[in-house]
Formats: sequence, structure tokens, C-alpha cells
Amino acid sequence: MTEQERQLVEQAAAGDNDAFERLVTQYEKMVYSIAFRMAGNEEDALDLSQETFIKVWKSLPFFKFEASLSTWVYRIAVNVCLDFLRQQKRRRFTTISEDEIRLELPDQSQDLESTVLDRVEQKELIAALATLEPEFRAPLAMSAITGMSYREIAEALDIQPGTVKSRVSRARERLRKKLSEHGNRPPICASNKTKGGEDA
Amino acid sequence: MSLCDQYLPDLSAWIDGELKDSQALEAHLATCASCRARAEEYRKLNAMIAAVEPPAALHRHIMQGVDNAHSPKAKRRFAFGSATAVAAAAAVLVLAIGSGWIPLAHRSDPGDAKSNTAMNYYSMQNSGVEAPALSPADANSEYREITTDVDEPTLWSAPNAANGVGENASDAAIEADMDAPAAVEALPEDGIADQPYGASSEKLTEDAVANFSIAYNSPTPDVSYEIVAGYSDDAQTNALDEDSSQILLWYIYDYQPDSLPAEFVQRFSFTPTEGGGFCADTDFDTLTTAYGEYYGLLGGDLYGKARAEAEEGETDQIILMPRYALTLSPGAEPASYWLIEGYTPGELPESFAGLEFTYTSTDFGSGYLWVAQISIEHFHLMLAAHDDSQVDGLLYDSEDAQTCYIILLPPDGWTEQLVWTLYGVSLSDLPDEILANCPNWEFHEDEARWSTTINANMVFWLYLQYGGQLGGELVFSSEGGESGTGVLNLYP
Repeated sequence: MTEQERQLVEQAAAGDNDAFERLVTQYEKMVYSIAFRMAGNEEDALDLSQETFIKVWKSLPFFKFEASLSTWVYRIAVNVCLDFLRQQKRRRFTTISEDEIRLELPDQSQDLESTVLDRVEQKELIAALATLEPEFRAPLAMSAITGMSYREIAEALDIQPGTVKSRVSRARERLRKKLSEHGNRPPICASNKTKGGEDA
Repeated sequence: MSLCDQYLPDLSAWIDGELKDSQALEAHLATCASCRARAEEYRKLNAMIAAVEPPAALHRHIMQGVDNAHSPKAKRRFAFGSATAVAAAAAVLVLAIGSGWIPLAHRSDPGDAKSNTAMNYYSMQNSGVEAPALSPADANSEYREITTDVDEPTLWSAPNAANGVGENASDAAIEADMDAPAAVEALPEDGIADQPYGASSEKLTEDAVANFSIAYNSPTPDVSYEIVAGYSDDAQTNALDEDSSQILLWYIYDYQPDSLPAEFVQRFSFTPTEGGGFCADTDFDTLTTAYGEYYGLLGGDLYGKARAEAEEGETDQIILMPRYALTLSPGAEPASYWLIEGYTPGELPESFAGLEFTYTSTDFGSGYLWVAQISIEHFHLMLAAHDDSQVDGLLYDSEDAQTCYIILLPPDGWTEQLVWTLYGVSLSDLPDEILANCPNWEFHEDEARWSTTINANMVFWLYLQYGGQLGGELVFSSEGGESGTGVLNLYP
């Protein structure tokens, strides 16, 4: 953690709203991305992001500077998401229907074809992610979105690094198979060069 | 398992840069087009997962939530009331502590309830049927007694604004009581474990006695009791409003600073005082947040005395909070109620053994459940002590009746797929809902049993829904299959 970040945390912990808002700005995109991948829709992801930062705000005075701030924030985020998903499971035992899945707006600079393909990709990815148990979804999302190490993810999820490795691997493979079932294997669906293609 | 399959975990780790020894994998990749393609697919998958574009409203939504979350509390802490309350220019510090909005009768019974855990438990105890195993912690607790000596359940209502609780009700009560503050001694004996000190207490310094007046309003039925502290220095009336620097001096007398939790020791720098105590600079938010985190779990008292920056920027004007005492004692100020149903308190982890549950009836849910008074902070602290996924129940916050759902899950390291076996029953005996959710039953003629594989969340949900009326045997198998199995006996 940089000295600047440490100061920011201390100021925020002391009630400096501006400092806290700078922290929010720094981490909100990652937190939202995790929440979106965990919840599968924008509305819940927004609320989960909000809840995450409320918890961060409340807990900042007790941040010990032992872990990195990002790991700590992502830990809170993923636990907020896991709690939410457990509630959801308990309330209804249905998987997310495709109708419920909201698609993110694609990059406006992309052409129509890639836009459509991206939407299809994302829609099927969301559906495929929804088939993974949250305990598998979480480490994969954290790894892919934040680039956290397995050790950091293990710390955040309170599991062993070996378990992270196993869950990420299994989650990836299950996702890959799921997308293949839909004919949306990542390299195949990406017809433009920028998205890659069959490697064979 | 093919050679390629064996490389899958390493391939995944390699993609993430987490494979320490990659020579073998890379040698394999050099000869295997399929695995190279798969590696590329994994990379694409990563990119797809990371491709999330937050909505434009994200930042505003977050900050609105944060503002809403802390603004009401800040106002509450520093709710400067009517000037006529204590003195013309008195600042009134209100800290709502405790919550007595719904008195609960102590211990009651299942009565004629047909579909509640305690009833089943009661029946089992009296019918010779083996009861579910209780944790060691509950050996002397009351819910064991309830099986042989039970009273009529009391009606418990879920707290909400209509009950007259919450900030408005509390503030109204404060307003009403301000003109006639009662003596400290008027506080109920069973209220706060360690009473706040009166103005003549030996624990106050001469400085405090000379400069500050203390008044406590009497406890208000159905709300809580408040500490109202006032002072008579006109110049400092607004010194501790929401926008002030909130600088405080925190005095402690009855214990050494190093007996505080590590977080306190790290965050507060204590220096000895002439009176034999210790003093640390802090601010109100930090102090109360720290206090909140350990709400009800610390012994001893905290004393605060505030000083605030005057307009000129001076910081030496000591004001406010005359030996304002925060009591940190176990169970001192339960502010919420924790409701559990579908299982007994005895099934809770050992760390919850200190809670006193009352079996009672309600006007919602299944009608009968166990209730324990507990502060939210205390609750979360207890959860933090172990795997919170093993705890279930509804947590009602006295302020806004929030609910807290935490699902029961098997211990860490167990798979979520369980084998549920039923003996001596027909599937037609099962509720349709169960059959709909667990369609793949297999009959084993040799042992005359039915079994199915069921998701852990599902079975626990069913378990809760049916209040322990499900029978059979539930077996967890360990992840990887190398360790043993566990058995959960569902109620006959």
C-alpha cells in the first residue's frame, strides 16, 4: 500500500467524506464487476456495490493495514454477494431465467456485428455463470476481474489456496463446456480478429 | 481420465500465472493442440468475464447509499435538542442505549403448536424417539428444560415503525422527558449492567464535577433509555454538531489500556492521567464505531470528555460530555432480536451458548419460534467467531426491522451434494414440493430404503420449511472423497 493510499484510508476512517469518495472511485468499477458477475443482473449488482461500500465505510476504522486495501475491499464485496446469493437461494430455487438477465450496454465504438456478438456472448456467459455455485463463481470472478493472486483470493474467501486453484479450474471448465453446449464457445463466437478465433 | 484432463487444474493456474513449476505443462502444450486451444479458450473466457461496463449511475448510487447509511446515525449521536431541555444553551447528547420496546416473557412453551421445532423436540423427548444431537454448549440451557416444563408461549410482534420504535419514537420520548430529567438512580437495575455515574460519583474528577452537570432521563416504556448530558457554557453550544471536528478525550479509569482489544490499543494512544486513569485523543465517530464493534462484549467503562475547536481554531476548551459513561458489559444493551425457527438453539454453534432464547409465538411466519435479545454488533461479532454459514435466523433490528437471512450449510470442505436416505416411508408420503425439487429417488429393495442426491441448500431449506418433520438420514461426502462422512439426523 502506498503512503498516499494509507493517508487516504486514515482520512476516510476519520470521517473525511471526500477521502472516502476517492476510495469509492478507485474501487467501484471492480466491485461492481464482481457484483455483476455474481448476481447476474445490473439492478442487484448496483445494490450489492452500494452495500459493499457501506460496509467498507463502517469498517474502515478497523482496517489494520495488514492486508492490501484492494484485497480487503474485494473480500467485503464477494462476501456481500455470497450472502445475497444465499438469501436468493433460500427464497426461490429457480435459476436466473434468460428474461431476467440484463445485458450491459456494449462499447458504442464497436461495429454492429461485434456488438451483437458481444451481447450474445455476454447473455450466454451470464446464463452459464448462473449455473455455477456461488462458491465456484466467486474465485473465478475475482481472478478474472481483479487479477488477484490465488493466495489473495484464498485469504478473501477464507479457504485454502489449493481450493481456489481447484475451484477456478473446475469453474472454468464447466463454463467452457456450458458455452460450447450453446454453440458459443468463446473463440468460435468471436468472428472478428480482435476477439480471436479457433486456435487449431 | 485422459492425460489432458490431468493437466486441467495446472492449465487453469498457468493461465492465471499461478503455476510455479510449469515445465511439464508447457512440454505437454507443445505437443497437444487441444490443450493449447483450451488455454486460449480460458483466456477468452477471462476477458469475457472481465468485460463489464458499470452503469453511469453507479457512483451516485453508491454515495447515496453511504450518505443514507451514516447520516441518520450522525444526527442521532449529536441530536441537539430543545434549548429548554437542560439549559438555555445546553447541548444535548443523546445516545440511545438499550432497547426495551418489546418485553419478552421468559421461557414459554410450544403449547398446541403442530409444526414447530420445539414441539417436535418436545414430542421426541417424551416418546422415546431419539432426539437430534445437541451441542455440548447447551447442556445446561433452558431449551433443554423446556421439554419437561413448559409455559404458554407469549405473543411476540415483529418490530416496526408502527410499534412506536425507531428514531422518531425515541426522539419524541426524549423531547418529552427533557424538562424533567430523572436521577441516575432511576434507571432500572436490570437495565444497564454497569450504571452510569451520578454527578457525585467518586469516579468523576474534580474538574468534571465542577464544570458539568449531568442529567439522565428516565427509561421510557417501549423505547429505550437515553443518556442526556448537558453543560452550561453558551459558547460551546454548537461545538459538537455534525460538522464539528468531534475531537474527544477518552478517559479510562478502571482498567489498563492494554486490556483493550488490539484494535483499540493500535488506534488510540493512551497517556496516564493525574487521577490514575488514562487518556487518549480520539473523535466521536472512531470511538463509537470501535465501541459498536465490541458492543456488549467488553468489561469496564469508557468515559469520554469532549473538547472541540472553537471558531478561532483553539482546541483547549474542554466542553461537553461530563464523564459521559459508555458501558461495555456483556449483554448490557441488546438492541435487536434474533429469531430462529425450524431448529432449536441447541443446534447452534457453541459460541452462541450464552444467548438466552425464549420460545414464543408470533404474529407472523410459522407462528412459533425462538427469540433471543442480542445487539446487531454482538450478533455479527459472534458470527465472525466461526463460520457464519452455519447460522440461520432472522435478525430484527430495532430501528428498521431488517432481516438477516443466513442459510445453513455443511461445514467448510464438504460438498454440496448430499445423499438423503429415507427408511420405511413411501414417496407418496412426501410433500409435493419435495418431490418436485428432488425428483430422482432410487429405491433400494435390499434395505427397503429410498435415496436421492440433494443439494445442501435445498435440503436445509426443506428442513427449515418443514420444521424438522422430515425424516431419514443425510450424508455429506467430503470433497475429493478421501475423508469420512457426516450424518445429519433429520427429525422422525
